[in-house]
Amino acid sequence: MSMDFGEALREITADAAVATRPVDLERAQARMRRRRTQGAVLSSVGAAVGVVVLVVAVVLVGSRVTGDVAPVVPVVTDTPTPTATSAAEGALCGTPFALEEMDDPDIEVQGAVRVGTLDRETASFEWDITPADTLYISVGTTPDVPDGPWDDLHLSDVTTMLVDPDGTVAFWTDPAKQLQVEATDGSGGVAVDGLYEAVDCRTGRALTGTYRAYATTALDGAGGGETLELAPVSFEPGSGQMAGQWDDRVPACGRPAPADLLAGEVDADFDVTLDPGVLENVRKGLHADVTVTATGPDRLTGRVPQAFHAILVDRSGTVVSRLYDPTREEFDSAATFDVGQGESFPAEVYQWFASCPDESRYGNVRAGKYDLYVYTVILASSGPGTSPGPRVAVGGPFPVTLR
Amino acid sequence: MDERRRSDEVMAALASERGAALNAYAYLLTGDLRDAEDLVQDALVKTFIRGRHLELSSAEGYVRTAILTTWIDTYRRRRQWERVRHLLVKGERKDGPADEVAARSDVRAALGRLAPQQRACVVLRYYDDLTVSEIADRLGLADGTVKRYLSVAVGRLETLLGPLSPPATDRTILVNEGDVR
Repeated sequence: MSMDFGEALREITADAAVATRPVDLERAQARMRRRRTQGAVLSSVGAAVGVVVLVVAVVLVGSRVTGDVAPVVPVVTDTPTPTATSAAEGALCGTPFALEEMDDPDIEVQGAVRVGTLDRETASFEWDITPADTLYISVGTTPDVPDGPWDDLHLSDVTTMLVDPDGTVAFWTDPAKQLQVEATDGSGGVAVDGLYEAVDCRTGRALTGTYRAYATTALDGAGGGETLELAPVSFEPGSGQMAGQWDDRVPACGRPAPADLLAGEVDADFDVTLDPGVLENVRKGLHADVTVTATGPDRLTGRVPQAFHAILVDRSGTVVSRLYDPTREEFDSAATFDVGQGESFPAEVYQWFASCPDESRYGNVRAGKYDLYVYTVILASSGPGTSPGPRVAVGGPFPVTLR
Repeated sequence: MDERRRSDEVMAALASERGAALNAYAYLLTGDLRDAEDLVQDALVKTFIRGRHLELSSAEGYVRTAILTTWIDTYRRRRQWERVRHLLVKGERKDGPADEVAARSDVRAALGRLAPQQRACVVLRYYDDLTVSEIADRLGLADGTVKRYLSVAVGRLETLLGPLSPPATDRTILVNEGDVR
Protein backbone atom coordinates (compact mmCIF):
# COMPACT_ATOMS: atom_id res chain seq x y z
CA MET A 1 0.00 0.00 0.00
CA SER A 2 1.40 3.36 -0.98
CA MET A 3 1.38 6.50 1.12
CA ASP A 4 -0.56 9.57 0.05
CA PHE A 5 2.34 11.90 0.68
CA GLY A 6 0.39 14.99 -0.29
CA GLU A 7 -2.21 14.17 2.32
CA ALA A 8 0.54 13.60 4.88
CA LEU A 9 1.93 17.05 4.12
CA ARG A 10 -1.53 18.59 4.49
CA GLU A 11 -1.91 16.94 7.89
CA ILE A 12 1.44 18.35 8.95
CA THR A 13 0.44 21.85 7.88
CA ALA A 14 -2.89 21.50 9.69
CA ASP A 15 -1.01 20.69 12.90
CA ALA A 16 1.47 23.48 12.28
CA ALA A 17 -1.27 26.03 11.61
CA VAL A 18 -2.69 25.30 15.05
CA ALA A 19 0.67 25.33 16.80
CA THR A 20 2.09 28.44 15.20
CA ARG A 21 1.87 31.88 16.71
CA PRO A 22 0.11 34.76 14.98
CA VAL A 23 2.28 36.72 12.58
CA ASP A 24 4.03 39.47 14.52
CA LEU A 25 2.72 42.26 12.34
CA GLU A 26 4.30 44.98 14.41
CA ARG A 27 7.73 43.45 13.88
CA ALA A 28 7.20 43.11 10.15
CA GLN A 29 6.02 46.71 9.89
CA ALA A 30 8.98 47.94 11.93
CA ARG A 31 11.40 46.11 9.65
CA MET A 32 9.74 47.59 6.58
CA ARG A 33 9.92 51.08 8.01
CA ARG A 34 13.62 50.65 8.67
CA ARG A 35 14.32 49.38 5.20
CA ARG A 36 12.22 51.99 3.48
CA THR A 37 14.06 54.79 5.20
CA GLN A 38 17.39 53.21 4.39
CA GLY A 39 17.62 54.80 0.98
CA ALA A 40 17.16 58.27 2.32
CA VAL A 41 19.43 58.22 5.30
CA LEU A 42 22.52 59.75 3.80
CA SER A 43 21.30 61.42 0.67
CA SER A 44 20.17 64.56 2.39
CA VAL A 45 22.30 67.65 2.52
CA GLY A 46 22.41 67.34 6.27
CA ALA A 47 23.87 63.89 6.02
CA ALA A 48 26.45 65.10 3.58
CA VAL A 49 27.54 67.68 6.08
CA GLY A 50 27.72 64.94 8.67
CA VAL A 51 30.00 62.92 6.45
CA VAL A 52 32.36 65.84 6.09
CA VAL A 53 32.35 66.28 9.85
CA LEU A 54 33.24 62.64 10.36
CA VAL A 55 36.03 62.57 7.83
CA VAL A 56 37.59 65.73 9.12
CA ALA A 57 37.18 64.49 12.67
CA VAL A 58 38.80 61.14 12.18
CA VAL A 59 41.69 62.59 10.28
CA LEU A 60 42.30 65.23 12.87
CA VAL A 61 41.76 63.03 15.87
CA GLY A 62 44.32 60.47 15.07
CA SER A 63 46.34 58.67 12.53
CA ARG A 64 46.41 55.39 14.39
CA VAL A 65 45.72 52.47 12.09
CA THR A 66 45.29 49.24 13.95
CA GLY A 67 45.70 45.70 12.80
CA ASP A 68 48.42 43.94 10.96
CA VAL A 69 46.91 43.51 7.55
CA ALA A 70 48.98 44.50 4.60
CA PRO A 71 46.52 45.34 1.86
CA VAL A 72 47.50 44.61 -1.67
CA VAL A 73 47.72 47.70 -3.81
CA PRO A 74 44.56 47.95 -5.89
CA VAL A 75 45.23 47.90 -9.59
CA VAL A 76 44.12 51.05 -11.32
CA THR A 77 44.88 51.52 -14.96
CA ASP A 78 44.35 54.33 -17.41
CA THR A 79 43.04 57.69 -16.47
CA PRO A 80 40.51 57.60 -13.64
CA THR A 81 37.03 58.38 -14.78
CA PRO A 82 34.77 59.93 -12.17
CA THR A 83 31.50 58.16 -11.74
CA ALA A 84 28.12 59.62 -11.04
CA THR A 85 28.01 60.63 -7.42
CA SER A 86 25.32 61.19 -4.87
CA ALA A 87 25.30 64.30 -2.73
CA ALA A 88 27.28 62.66 0.05
CA GLU A 89 29.73 60.70 -2.03
CA GLY A 90 31.57 63.79 -3.06
CA ALA A 91 32.44 64.23 0.59
CA LEU A 92 33.46 60.69 1.47
CA CYS A 93 34.75 58.99 -1.66
CA GLY A 94 38.50 59.39 -2.05
CA THR A 95 38.91 61.13 1.28
CA PRO A 96 41.54 59.97 3.80
CA PHE A 97 40.31 57.80 6.62
CA ALA A 98 42.12 56.95 9.83
CA LEU A 99 40.44 54.81 12.41
CA GLU A 100 39.49 56.25 15.75
CA GLU A 101 37.68 53.41 17.43
CA MET A 102 34.58 54.41 19.33
CA ASP A 103 32.32 52.23 21.44
CA ASP A 104 28.66 53.13 21.74
CA PRO A 105 27.26 51.97 25.09
CA ASP A 106 23.87 51.14 23.60
CA ILE A 107 24.68 49.32 20.38
CA GLU A 108 27.09 46.80 18.95
CA VAL A 109 28.22 46.92 15.33
CA GLN A 110 28.76 43.49 13.83
CA GLY A 111 29.13 41.99 10.41
CA ALA A 112 31.37 41.54 7.43
CA VAL A 113 31.79 42.54 3.83
CA ARG A 114 31.58 39.62 1.44
CA VAL A 115 32.59 39.46 -2.18
CA GLY A 116 30.74 37.42 -4.75
CA THR A 117 28.42 37.59 -7.71
CA LEU A 118 24.78 38.48 -8.14
CA ASP A 119 22.63 36.16 -10.21
CA ARG A 120 20.15 38.64 -11.61
CA GLU A 121 17.90 35.90 -12.91
CA THR A 122 17.15 34.63 -9.42
CA ALA A 123 18.22 37.77 -7.52
CA SER A 124 20.48 35.64 -5.36
CA PHE A 125 23.94 36.55 -4.19
CA GLU A 126 26.58 33.85 -4.23
CA TRP A 127 29.66 34.65 -2.26
CA ASP A 128 33.27 33.74 -2.75
CA ILE A 129 32.75 33.36 -6.49
CA THR A 130 35.55 34.79 -8.57
CA PRO A 131 35.85 37.03 -10.39
CA ALA A 132 33.69 38.87 -7.91
CA ASP A 133 31.65 41.81 -9.13
CA THR A 134 29.37 42.38 -6.18
CA LEU A 135 29.78 43.30 -2.53
CA TYR A 136 27.37 42.11 0.12
CA ILE A 137 27.60 44.47 3.07
CA SER A 138 26.22 42.46 5.94
CA VAL A 139 27.08 44.97 8.62
CA GLY A 140 24.62 46.39 11.09
CA THR A 141 23.80 47.23 14.64
CA THR A 142 22.39 45.05 17.39
CA PRO A 143 21.76 45.86 21.04
CA ASP A 144 24.93 46.22 23.06
CA VAL A 145 23.79 43.35 25.23
CA PRO A 146 21.72 40.73 23.42
CA ASP A 147 18.25 40.59 24.87
CA GLY A 148 15.99 38.51 22.70
CA PRO A 149 15.27 36.65 19.49
CA TRP A 150 17.29 37.75 16.57
CA ASP A 151 15.97 40.43 14.31
CA ASP A 152 17.90 41.60 11.29
CA LEU A 153 21.06 43.49 11.86
CA HIS A 154 19.96 47.09 11.42
CA LEU A 155 21.88 47.74 8.25
CA SER A 156 20.66 51.25 7.70
CA ASP A 157 22.31 52.47 10.87
CA VAL A 158 25.84 51.79 9.67
CA THR A 159 28.10 53.20 6.98
CA THR A 160 30.78 50.80 5.81
CA MET A 161 33.91 51.84 3.96
CA LEU A 162 36.71 50.07 2.11
CA VAL A 163 39.99 51.91 2.37
CA ASP A 164 42.95 51.36 0.07
CA PRO A 165 46.58 51.07 1.23
CA ASP A 166 47.00 54.80 0.82
CA GLY A 167 44.34 55.29 3.44
CA THR A 168 41.69 56.77 1.20
CA VAL A 169 38.12 55.61 0.82
CA ALA A 170 37.71 53.51 -2.31
CA PHE A 171 34.17 52.40 -1.59
CA TRP A 172 31.45 53.28 0.84
CA THR A 173 27.88 52.21 1.28
CA ASP A 174 26.20 55.06 -0.49
CA PRO A 175 22.49 54.27 -0.13
CA ALA A 176 21.90 55.67 -3.60
CA LYS A 177 24.18 52.98 -5.03
CA GLN A 178 22.59 50.03 -3.32
CA LEU A 179 21.41 47.46 -5.83
CA GLN A 180 17.68 46.94 -5.93
CA VAL A 181 17.27 43.77 -7.92
CA GLU A 182 14.15 41.84 -8.66
CA ALA A 183 14.52 38.38 -10.13
CA THR A 184 14.04 38.25 -13.87
CA ASP A 185 12.75 34.69 -13.74
CA GLY A 186 9.28 35.80 -12.70
CA SER A 187 9.58 34.28 -9.26
CA GLY A 188 9.08 37.62 -7.57
CA GLY A 189 12.31 37.17 -5.66
CA VAL A 190 14.00 40.32 -4.42
CA ALA A 191 17.72 40.51 -3.69
CA VAL A 192 18.79 40.94 -0.11
CA ASP A 193 19.58 44.38 1.19
CA GLY A 194 23.20 45.40 1.24
CA LEU A 195 24.33 44.54 -2.30
CA TYR A 196 26.58 46.93 -4.21
CA GLU A 197 28.62 46.78 -7.36
CA ALA A 198 32.25 46.12 -6.44
CA VAL A 199 33.45 49.33 -8.02
CA ASP A 200 36.02 51.86 -6.91
CA CYS A 201 34.00 55.03 -6.33
CA ARG A 202 36.95 57.17 -7.43
CA THR A 203 37.55 55.57 -10.78
CA GLY A 204 34.49 53.55 -11.66
CA ARG A 205 36.74 50.53 -12.14
CA ALA A 206 36.43 47.15 -10.47
CA LEU A 207 37.85 46.81 -6.99
CA THR A 208 40.85 44.49 -6.84
CA GLY A 209 43.36 43.41 -4.23
CA THR A 210 42.70 43.75 -0.53
CA TYR A 211 41.20 46.61 1.42
CA ARG A 212 40.75 47.48 5.04
CA ALA A 213 37.09 47.70 6.02
CA TYR A 214 35.60 50.07 8.55
CA ALA A 215 32.10 50.51 9.87
CA THR A 216 30.70 53.49 11.70
CA THR A 217 27.45 54.81 13.05
CA ALA A 218 29.00 58.20 13.74
CA LEU A 219 27.96 60.06 10.62
CA ASP A 220 25.61 62.62 12.03
CA GLY A 221 28.34 64.81 13.40
CA ALA A 222 26.65 64.83 16.77
CA GLY A 223 29.35 62.84 18.56
CA GLY A 224 29.06 59.38 19.99
CA GLY A 225 28.28 56.32 17.96
CA GLU A 226 30.45 53.32 17.26
CA THR A 227 33.34 53.00 14.83
CA LEU A 228 35.45 49.91 14.33
CA GLU A 229 37.55 48.01 11.84
CA LEU A 230 36.09 44.90 10.26
CA ALA A 231 37.90 41.94 8.76
CA PRO A 232 39.73 43.00 5.59
CA VAL A 233 38.09 42.46 2.24
CA SER A 234 40.00 40.62 -0.43
CA PHE A 235 39.21 39.95 -4.03
CA GLU A 236 41.88 37.26 -4.21
CA PRO A 237 40.59 33.71 -4.87
CA GLY A 238 40.17 31.57 -1.76
CA SER A 239 40.29 34.44 0.67
CA GLY A 240 36.77 34.14 2.00
CA GLN A 241 35.51 34.54 5.49
CA MET A 242 36.75 31.98 7.96
CA ALA A 243 34.23 32.13 10.78
CA GLY A 244 31.43 29.61 10.78
CA GLN A 245 29.17 27.48 12.91
CA TRP A 246 30.41 24.13 14.10
CA ASP A 247 27.34 22.48 15.56
CA ASP A 248 28.97 19.09 15.89
CA ARG A 249 31.82 20.43 17.96
CA VAL A 250 29.88 22.26 20.62
CA PRO A 251 27.54 21.04 23.39
CA ALA A 252 23.99 20.55 22.18
CA CYS A 253 21.11 22.34 23.85
CA GLY A 254 18.76 20.10 25.81
CA ARG A 255 21.32 17.37 26.32
CA PRO A 256 23.62 16.56 29.20
CA ALA A 257 26.75 18.63 29.10
CA PRO A 258 29.82 16.60 28.11
CA ALA A 259 31.35 14.87 31.11
CA ASP A 260 34.79 16.29 30.40
CA LEU A 261 33.34 19.78 30.37
CA LEU A 262 31.67 19.32 33.74
CA ALA A 263 34.84 17.78 35.11
CA GLY A 264 36.96 20.65 33.80
CA GLU A 265 38.95 18.26 31.67
CA VAL A 266 38.18 19.44 28.14
CA ASP A 267 41.18 19.06 25.90
CA ALA A 268 40.90 22.63 24.67
CA ASP A 269 43.44 24.59 22.70
CA PHE A 270 42.54 27.83 24.46
CA ASP A 271 41.53 28.65 28.01
CA VAL A 272 39.09 31.52 28.45
CA THR A 273 38.81 33.65 31.56
CA LEU A 274 36.58 36.57 32.42
CA ASP A 275 36.03 38.99 35.25
CA PRO A 276 33.31 37.43 37.47
CA GLY A 277 32.00 40.92 38.04
CA VAL A 278 30.49 40.94 34.56
CA LEU A 279 28.16 38.16 35.66
CA GLU A 280 26.54 40.07 38.50
CA ASN A 281 23.56 41.41 36.58
CA VAL A 282 22.90 39.08 33.69
CA ARG A 283 19.42 38.95 32.26
CA LYS A 284 18.86 37.62 28.75
CA GLY A 285 22.33 37.70 27.30
CA LEU A 286 25.96 38.53 27.92
CA HIS A 287 28.40 40.92 26.29
CA ALA A 288 31.72 40.92 28.09
CA ASP A 289 35.45 41.07 27.56
CA VAL A 290 37.36 37.82 27.95
CA THR A 291 40.99 36.79 27.87
CA VAL A 292 41.95 33.85 25.70
CA THR A 293 45.14 31.94 26.49
CA ALA A 294 46.78 29.26 24.37
CA THR A 295 47.28 26.00 26.27
CA GLY A 296 48.97 23.70 23.80
CA PRO A 297 52.56 23.45 22.64
CA ASP A 298 51.86 24.70 19.11
CA ARG A 299 52.06 28.31 18.16
CA LEU A 300 48.64 29.24 16.80
CA THR A 301 47.66 32.04 14.46
CA GLY A 302 44.33 33.15 13.14
CA ARG A 303 41.67 35.78 13.15
CA VAL A 304 39.71 36.55 16.30
CA PRO A 305 35.96 35.95 15.90
CA GLN A 306 33.76 38.96 16.51
CA ALA A 307 31.72 36.97 19.04
CA PHE A 308 32.80 34.25 21.40
CA HIS A 309 29.95 32.06 22.58
CA ALA A 310 28.72 30.75 25.90
CA ILE A 311 26.24 28.19 27.17
CA LEU A 312 24.30 27.77 30.36
CA VAL A 313 24.20 24.46 32.23
CA ASP A 314 21.61 23.83 34.92
CA ARG A 315 22.06 22.04 38.22
CA SER A 316 21.29 18.68 36.67
CA GLY A 317 24.12 19.11 34.21
CA THR A 318 21.90 19.76 31.21
CA VAL A 319 22.72 22.39 28.62
CA VAL A 320 19.76 24.78 28.65
CA SER A 321 20.78 27.40 26.11
CA ARG A 322 21.67 27.36 22.44
CA LEU A 323 25.21 28.21 21.55
CA TYR A 324 24.59 29.09 17.91
CA ASP A 325 21.62 30.97 16.58
CA PRO A 326 20.98 29.24 13.25
CA THR A 327 19.53 32.42 11.79
CA ARG A 328 22.62 34.41 12.57
CA GLU A 329 26.00 34.38 10.90
CA GLU A 330 29.41 34.24 12.50
CA PHE A 331 31.91 36.94 11.61
CA ASP A 332 35.64 37.41 11.83
CA SER A 333 36.98 40.58 13.39
CA ALA A 334 39.87 42.69 12.16
CA ALA A 335 42.02 41.46 15.04
CA THR A 336 44.43 38.57 14.63
CA PHE A 337 46.20 36.35 17.14
CA ASP A 338 49.63 34.75 17.11
CA VAL A 339 50.14 33.01 20.42
CA GLY A 340 52.25 30.29 21.96
CA GLN A 341 51.60 28.34 25.13
CA GLY A 342 50.60 30.68 27.95
CA GLU A 343 50.22 33.72 25.71
CA SER A 344 46.93 35.55 25.55
CA PHE A 345 44.78 37.79 23.40
CA PRO A 346 41.56 39.70 24.13
CA ALA A 347 38.14 38.83 22.76
CA GLU A 348 34.47 39.43 23.51
CA VAL A 349 31.64 37.11 24.42
CA TYR A 350 28.39 38.15 22.76
CA GLN A 351 25.65 35.64 23.49
CA TRP A 352 21.88 35.64 23.69
CA PHE A 353 20.74 32.85 26.01
CA ALA A 354 18.11 31.25 23.78
CA SER A 355 16.10 28.32 24.98
CA CYS A 356 16.42 24.98 23.25
CA PRO A 357 14.53 24.66 19.97
CA ASP A 358 12.60 21.57 20.97
CA GLU A 359 10.90 23.23 23.88
CA SER A 360 7.33 24.38 23.48
CA ARG A 361 8.39 27.95 24.00
CA TYR A 362 11.01 29.84 22.09
CA GLY A 363 12.76 32.64 23.78
CA ASN A 364 14.91 33.45 26.74
CA VAL A 365 16.18 30.88 29.15
CA ARG A 366 14.15 31.23 32.32
CA ALA A 367 15.60 33.04 35.29
CA GLY A 368 17.57 30.96 37.73
CA LYS A 369 21.01 29.81 38.77
CA TYR A 370 23.28 28.23 36.20
CA ASP A 371 26.87 27.51 35.40
CA LEU A 372 28.12 29.50 32.42
CA TYR A 373 30.77 28.05 30.15
CA VAL A 374 32.45 30.06 27.42
CA TYR A 375 32.70 27.67 24.50
CA THR A 376 33.87 28.69 21.05
CA VAL A 377 35.35 27.09 17.99
CA ILE A 378 38.13 29.17 16.46
CA LEU A 379 39.93 28.52 13.22
CA ALA A 380 43.67 28.57 13.76
CA SER A 381 46.83 27.57 11.92
CA SER A 382 49.72 25.92 13.67
CA GLY A 383 52.42 27.08 11.31
CA PRO A 384 53.27 28.83 8.05
CA GLY A 385 51.61 27.17 5.11
CA THR A 386 49.34 25.15 7.33
CA SER A 387 45.67 25.44 6.58
CA PRO A 388 43.61 26.56 9.55
CA GLY A 389 41.60 24.02 11.46
CA PRO A 390 38.95 24.27 14.15
CA ARG A 391 40.27 24.71 17.68
CA VAL A 392 38.23 24.81 20.84
CA ALA A 393 38.31 27.60 23.41
CA VAL A 394 36.69 26.85 26.75
CA GLY A 395 36.23 28.73 30.01
CA GLY A 396 34.25 28.03 33.13
CA PRO A 397 32.25 27.07 34.98
CA PHE A 398 31.30 30.57 36.04
CA PRO A 399 28.33 30.64 38.44
CA VAL A 400 25.66 33.02 37.18
CA THR A 401 22.18 33.98 38.27
CA LEU A 402 19.93 34.86 35.36
CA ARG A 403 17.53 37.56 36.53
CA MET B 1 2.09 57.35 -0.24
CA ASP B 2 -1.53 56.23 -0.47
CA GLU B 3 -0.40 53.25 -2.50
CA ARG B 4 2.10 52.34 0.19
CA ARG B 5 -0.58 52.64 2.86
CA ARG B 6 -2.91 50.41 0.89
CA SER B 7 -0.10 47.92 0.47
CA ASP B 8 0.53 47.92 4.20
CA GLU B 9 -3.16 47.38 4.83
CA VAL B 10 -3.15 44.38 2.53
CA MET B 11 -0.17 42.98 4.39
CA ALA B 12 -1.92 43.46 7.71
CA ALA B 13 -5.05 41.77 6.45
CA LEU B 14 -3.08 38.92 4.96
CA ALA B 15 -1.11 38.42 8.16
CA SER B 16 -4.29 38.41 10.18
CA GLU B 17 -6.38 36.16 7.96
CA ARG B 18 -3.79 33.85 6.44
CA GLY B 19 -0.86 34.10 8.81
CA ALA B 20 -1.35 30.64 10.27
CA ALA B 21 -1.59 29.10 6.82
CA LEU B 22 1.55 30.89 5.66
CA ASN B 23 3.45 29.80 8.75
CA ALA B 24 2.29 26.23 8.19
CA TYR B 25 3.46 26.36 4.59
CA ALA B 26 6.85 27.68 5.65
CA TYR B 27 7.03 24.93 8.26
CA LEU B 28 7.02 22.32 5.51
CA LEU B 29 10.30 23.82 4.38
CA THR B 30 11.98 24.65 7.66
CA GLY B 31 10.74 21.84 9.89
CA ASP B 32 10.83 24.26 12.81
CA LEU B 33 7.89 26.42 13.78
CA ARG B 34 9.91 29.38 14.94
CA ASP B 35 12.14 29.31 11.90
CA ALA B 36 8.96 29.14 9.83
CA GLU B 37 7.64 32.25 11.53
CA ASP B 38 10.89 34.05 10.79
CA LEU B 39 10.74 32.90 7.18
CA VAL B 40 7.22 34.28 6.81
CA GLN B 41 8.37 37.56 8.34
CA ASP B 42 11.13 37.81 5.75
CA ALA B 43 8.74 36.94 2.94
CA LEU B 44 6.18 39.54 4.02
CA VAL B 45 8.82 42.24 4.16
CA LYS B 46 10.20 41.26 0.76
CA THR B 47 6.75 41.20 -0.82
CA PHE B 48 5.46 44.48 0.55
CA ILE B 49 8.63 46.54 0.94
CA ARG B 50 8.11 48.33 -2.35
CA GLY B 51 4.60 49.35 -1.44
CA ARG B 52 3.30 47.93 -4.69
CA HIS B 53 -0.40 47.47 -5.00
CA LEU B 54 -1.54 43.89 -4.55
CA GLU B 55 -5.06 42.60 -4.16
CA LEU B 56 -5.57 40.54 -1.05
CA SER B 57 -6.72 37.65 -3.19
CA SER B 58 -3.42 37.49 -5.06
CA ALA B 59 -1.05 38.64 -2.33
CA GLU B 60 -0.90 35.24 -0.68
CA GLY B 61 0.51 33.71 -3.84
CA TYR B 62 3.25 36.34 -3.94
CA VAL B 63 4.11 35.74 -0.31
CA ARG B 64 4.23 31.97 -0.81
CA THR B 65 6.61 32.48 -3.71
CA ALA B 66 8.71 34.77 -1.56
CA ILE B 67 8.76 32.09 1.14
CA LEU B 68 10.15 29.60 -1.35
CA THR B 69 12.69 31.92 -2.91
CA THR B 70 13.88 33.19 0.45
CA TRP B 71 14.32 29.63 1.65
CA ILE B 72 16.24 28.65 -1.45
CA ASP B 73 18.29 31.85 -1.41
CA THR B 74 19.34 31.24 2.16
CA TYR B 75 20.29 27.71 1.26
CA ARG B 76 22.30 28.89 -1.72
CA ARG B 77 24.25 31.28 0.43
CA ARG B 78 25.06 28.55 2.92
CA ARG B 79 25.94 26.18 0.12
CA GLN B 80 28.45 28.61 -1.32
CA TRP B 81 30.25 28.74 1.98
CA GLU B 82 30.20 24.97 2.34
CA ARG B 83 31.53 24.63 -1.19
CA VAL B 84 34.63 26.66 -0.57
CA ARG B 85 35.15 25.85 3.06
CA HIS B 86 37.28 22.82 2.36
CA LEU B 87 39.69 25.03 0.51
CA LEU B 88 40.27 27.04 3.62
CA VAL B 89 40.21 24.60 6.52
CA LYS B 90 41.15 21.07 7.36
CA GLY B 91 38.58 18.42 6.58
CA GLU B 92 38.00 17.70 10.20
CA ARG B 93 34.40 18.67 10.41
CA LYS B 94 31.87 15.88 10.59
CA ASP B 95 28.36 16.13 9.21
CA GLY B 96 25.75 16.82 11.79
CA PRO B 97 22.82 14.63 12.60
CA ALA B 98 19.58 15.06 10.71
CA ASP B 99 17.36 17.92 11.74
CA GLU B 100 16.20 16.78 15.12
CA VAL B 101 13.61 19.47 15.33
CA ALA B 102 11.66 17.92 12.49
CA ALA B 103 11.84 14.41 13.83
CA ARG B 104 8.47 14.33 15.53
CA SER B 105 6.99 11.89 13.08
CA ASP B 106 8.19 9.68 10.31
CA VAL B 107 7.16 12.10 7.61
CA ARG B 108 8.70 15.08 9.35
CA ALA B 109 11.86 13.11 9.95
CA ALA B 110 11.96 12.00 6.34
CA LEU B 111 11.52 15.57 5.13
CA GLY B 112 14.34 16.56 7.39
CA ARG B 113 16.66 14.21 5.55
CA LEU B 114 16.21 16.05 2.28
CA ALA B 115 18.43 18.83 1.02
CA PRO B 116 16.64 22.18 0.91
CA GLN B 117 16.35 22.19 -2.87
CA GLN B 118 14.90 18.68 -2.82
CA ARG B 119 12.56 19.62 -0.01
CA ALA B 120 11.27 22.64 -1.88
CA CYS B 121 10.65 20.51 -4.96
CA VAL B 122 8.80 17.91 -2.91
CA VAL B 123 6.58 20.52 -1.27
CA LEU B 124 5.75 22.10 -4.62
CA ARG B 125 5.09 18.71 -6.17
CA TYR B 126 3.10 16.98 -3.48
CA TYR B 127 1.61 19.88 -1.56
CA ASP B 128 1.06 22.49 -4.24
CA ASP B 129 0.45 19.84 -6.90
CA LEU B 130 2.61 21.64 -9.43
CA THR B 131 4.00 19.97 -12.50
CA VAL B 132 7.71 19.59 -13.08
CA SER B 133 7.70 22.50 -15.50
CA GLU B 134 5.84 24.69 -13.05
CA ILE B 135 8.27 23.82 -10.30
CA ALA B 136 11.15 24.62 -12.62
CA ASP B 137 9.61 27.99 -13.38
CA ARG B 138 8.96 28.73 -9.75
CA LEU B 139 12.45 27.92 -8.58
CA GLY B 140 14.35 29.13 -11.61
CA LEU B 141 15.69 25.68 -12.40
CA ALA B 142 15.82 23.56 -15.52
CA ASP B 143 13.18 20.86 -15.88
CA GLY B 144 15.87 18.23 -15.81
CA THR B 145 17.24 19.59 -12.56
CA VAL B 146 13.83 19.44 -10.95
CA LYS B 147 13.36 15.87 -12.15
CA ARG B 148 16.70 14.95 -10.66
CA TYR B 149 15.89 16.58 -7.35
CA LEU B 150 12.50 14.87 -7.24
CA SER B 151 13.95 11.54 -8.21
CA VAL B 152 16.55 11.63 -5.49
CA ALA B 153 14.11 13.00 -2.94
CA VAL B 154 11.34 10.54 -3.65
CA GLY B 155 13.84 7.70 -3.62
CA ARG B 156 15.03 8.78 -0.22
CA LEU B 157 11.50 9.27 1.08
CA GLU B 158 10.41 5.87 -0.15
CA THR B 159 13.40 4.28 1.53
CA LEU B 160 12.19 5.77 4.79
CA LEU B 161 8.42 5.73 4.35
CA GLY B 162 7.65 3.05 1.78
CA PRO B 163 6.09 3.64 -1.63
CA LEU B 164 4.48 7.03 -2.25
CA SER B 165 1.35 7.40 -4.31
CA PRO B 166 1.80 9.73 -7.28
CA PRO B 167 0.81 13.36 -6.80
CA ALA B 168 -2.16 14.94 -8.48
CA THR B 169 -0.41 16.50 -11.42
CA ASP B 170 -3.16 18.37 -13.16
CA ARG B 171 -4.11 20.85 -10.50
CA THR B 172 -2.15 24.06 -10.43
CA ILE B 173 -4.12 25.85 -7.72
CA LEU B 174 -1.73 27.53 -5.35
CA VAL B 175 -4.18 28.83 -2.81
CA ASN B 176 -7.13 26.70 -1.92
CA GLU B 177 -9.41 28.63 0.35
CA GLY B 178 -10.96 26.70 3.14
CA ASP B 179 -8.00 24.65 4.17
CA VAL B 180 -4.78 25.64 5.82
CA ARG B 181 -2.94 26.14 2.58
